[in-house]
Amino acid sequence: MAAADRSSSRLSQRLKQNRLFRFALSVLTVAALVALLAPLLANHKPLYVQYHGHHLFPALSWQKVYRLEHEGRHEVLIVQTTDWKQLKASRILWPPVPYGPVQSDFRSAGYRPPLYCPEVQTGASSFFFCHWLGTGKRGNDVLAGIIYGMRTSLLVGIGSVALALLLGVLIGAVSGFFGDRQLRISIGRLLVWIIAWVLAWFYVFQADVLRLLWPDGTGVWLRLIGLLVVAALLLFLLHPLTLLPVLKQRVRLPADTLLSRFTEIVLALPLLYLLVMLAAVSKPSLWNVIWIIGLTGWTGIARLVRAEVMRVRELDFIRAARLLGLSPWRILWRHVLPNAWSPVLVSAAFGIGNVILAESALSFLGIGMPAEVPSWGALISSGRENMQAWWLIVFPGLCIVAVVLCFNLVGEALRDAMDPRHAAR
Amino acid sequence: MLSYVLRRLLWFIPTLLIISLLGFYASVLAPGDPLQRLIGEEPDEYPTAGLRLLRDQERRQWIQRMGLDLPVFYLELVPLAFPDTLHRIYDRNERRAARYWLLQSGSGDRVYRYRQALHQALLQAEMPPAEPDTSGAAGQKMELRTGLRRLLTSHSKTETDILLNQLYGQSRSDTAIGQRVQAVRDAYAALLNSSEHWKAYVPVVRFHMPNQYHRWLFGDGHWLSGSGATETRGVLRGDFGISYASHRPVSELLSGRIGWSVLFALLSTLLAYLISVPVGVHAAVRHGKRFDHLSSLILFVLNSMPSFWVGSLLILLLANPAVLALFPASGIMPAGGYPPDAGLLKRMLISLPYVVLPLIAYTYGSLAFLSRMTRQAMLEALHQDYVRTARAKGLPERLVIWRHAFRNSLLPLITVFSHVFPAAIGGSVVLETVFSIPGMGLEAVRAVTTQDFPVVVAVFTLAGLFSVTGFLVADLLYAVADPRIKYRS
Repeated sequence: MAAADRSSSRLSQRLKQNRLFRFALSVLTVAALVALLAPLLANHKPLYVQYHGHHLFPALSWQKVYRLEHEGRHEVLIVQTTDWKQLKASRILWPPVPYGPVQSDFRSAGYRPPLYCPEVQTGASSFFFCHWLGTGKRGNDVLAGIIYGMRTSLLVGIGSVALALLLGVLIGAVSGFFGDRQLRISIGRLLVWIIAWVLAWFYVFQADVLRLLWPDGTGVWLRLIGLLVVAALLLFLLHPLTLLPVLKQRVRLPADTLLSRFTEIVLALPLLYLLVMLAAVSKPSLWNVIWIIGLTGWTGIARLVRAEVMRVRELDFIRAARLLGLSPWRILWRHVLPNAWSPVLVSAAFGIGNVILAESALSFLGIGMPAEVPSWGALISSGRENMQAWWLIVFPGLCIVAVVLCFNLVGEALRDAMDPRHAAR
Repeated sequence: MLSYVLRRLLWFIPTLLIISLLGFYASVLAPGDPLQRLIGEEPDEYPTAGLRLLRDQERRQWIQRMGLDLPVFYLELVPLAFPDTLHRIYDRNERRAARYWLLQSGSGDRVYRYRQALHQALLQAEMPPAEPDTSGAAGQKMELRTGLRRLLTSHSKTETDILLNQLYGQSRSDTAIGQRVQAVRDAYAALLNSSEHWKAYVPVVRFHMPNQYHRWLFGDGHWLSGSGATETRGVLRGDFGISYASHRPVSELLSGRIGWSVLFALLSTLLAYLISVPVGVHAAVRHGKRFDHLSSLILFVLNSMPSFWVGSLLILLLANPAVLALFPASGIMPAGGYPPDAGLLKRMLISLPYVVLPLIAYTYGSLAFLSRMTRQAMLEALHQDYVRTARAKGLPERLVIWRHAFRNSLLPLITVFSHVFPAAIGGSVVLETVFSIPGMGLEAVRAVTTQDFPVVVAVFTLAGLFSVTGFLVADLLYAVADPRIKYRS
């Protein structure tokens, strides 16, 4: 591991010298903070209200309804629908952007240009309630939409790239490390594995054994857990089969060929059309988009990891580990992978940028993404209804470009820092 | 070489198979009832028994025409309790309920008898009352109908118990129905008393030969020659069924549209190569100079811009009467279509202004990628010994660059064709929407918003086919271009 440590410290030094990298990283940090703190930065509910002696925190609390009592009168305030800007509060503290991402606002409906300041009847100065980047058709604030859109973009980007990384590293590492000759397994074990998983699928999804425990139906997650449990049980029960002498013969699994072909097939699936089809079949949901992109986006990472692992496995210290008799899985996990992570990092950075582009295209089309989730693509798409409202197209687009550019810069800097030939040139 | 090409073509098959399976299963899972889309909803009550029978006949005809009563796939792994006629229950909710009772009782016979009793009771309840309505009998019958229909789709024991008790109470005034409901109750009791529970836990593999996938793929005639096909000739022969929205064959609907998508994908790919090769070569030759830095920076920024945004901006700036109206904003030809006597050349001239903006938006994305690739490959090549030798020989720099270095950097450029072309096909969904180009992508978006599944599935399968073809072409070109590469099996 010493080699890896030394190279990584040299790497971070080289990265620190790269100004563009530092710049991009700080922009992304700010973006992540904005995404995390979105409800505190932009909200149509105030952070704090002092109202007839009551202290309310509408933006922060889970409470949906306030039942207040003052001077013998009862008042009910529904948090979501109360017009807080009209409230005669003695003290009120607004977030920096006092508007929500998708909420309509009759005061500024009908495509108001940037810097439009509506008349708001409260103690706060009306300057504070300006729409800095204009509004959309229903008076929805563009700046607030952009702030919440950051959340959606980063969530989809990071979520699906994390899934893609998991799959890509696993598949690439196995096919690169074991190649076509090294993965040996006894026939009995192979049979038991196949039979156990097929039967587990049968009992959980066809024979529905879970109904014996939960007669009123089960959700997807419970079924998946059930699948694992049943498979584990069957593996245990069928284990004696592997002890039969007839089935003890070991065969080679051509892991590399199989996985490479599989990678090629997945690579050929047209992602956008796949998402379009999924949108037609299921209800729009953010998670669907994330897992579909994750499940199809690992191919590039797998190829990189495979190449890198093939390089590393021929190095001397790996041979030494083999000679020591360590198990191949342990060598792969503890010694090969830590030395092969650099291209993964690069493609993860580029990957997030690409996924953000894909997500914005989807929400632009209004396909797959639920309509109530605020996103940059949806803002741009709403701007196309009215060509005069250029601010709806320009500002969210600039945000996409900025974030994607920063991820690409990070990726580029990482690549440069890791590639010795680049540095020399 | 030949064996490599053959092997490559063989690998084409499983990929297409998986794409077709995905497309097919999406069409099976698609929500909503295809029959309802084609012949309309079922009425609640039929004025006469004859009408109900006619309607049933019509439904059955359509089900048979579309092959909806066939099993889904060649193979299935099901509990022994499932009869191999389960797929004939057409309604998805009813089938789900039937599966539930089969698992509960383990007896196919008893479930069959229970469902038959339910259907007979429902038939009775759907008949109009014999004499004019006097004592609220019609309202009572309506309640009976809804109760019985819910029973048909109920997959819960508690719900069924409650519903049956209710029905029993409601049906006592009418002897004809009362008898039928009693029959249902008896069949239900028999169902619960079954002694064949074990059958629900024994797996069997069943093979179905006429099945929906086979029919979808090969049509309903002979699978190889296609002779004798009556309803569908199968996806492999270009028959994707009937569009729900327009009731026209999908293939007819798409055939005029694929042309535009492929045209734009090819044109933009060509254009991207034409621009990026000189830029990339130039940047590599002037490595580290101003042109290199500037072009790299610009291309890097271009690469981070979403194409639909660039397209929207182009329209906003260049096709907007308020700013500059140099180009038409959308479509591919004038609203009235081409003049009838226009030849191909004239039509191209008419369409030219419509094509400019979309082509820019299509091209710029792959432009950045291709230029970087060219630059990289050229840098690699320019550092080789043979280039130094060529220079030392005193060859003119032009010849050194283009004949010695560039030729050898062609290889990576060819391989990335397999990225660029599928990307252009995929990008068509977005850009065809932005510019209202009547291509496959626009049709896909329309089909999704109107839930027109046959069209969605067809478009997906075709897009998959195109991108796989792109990969194949790139691989074969690669094999042709580089004589050094030996393809051993």
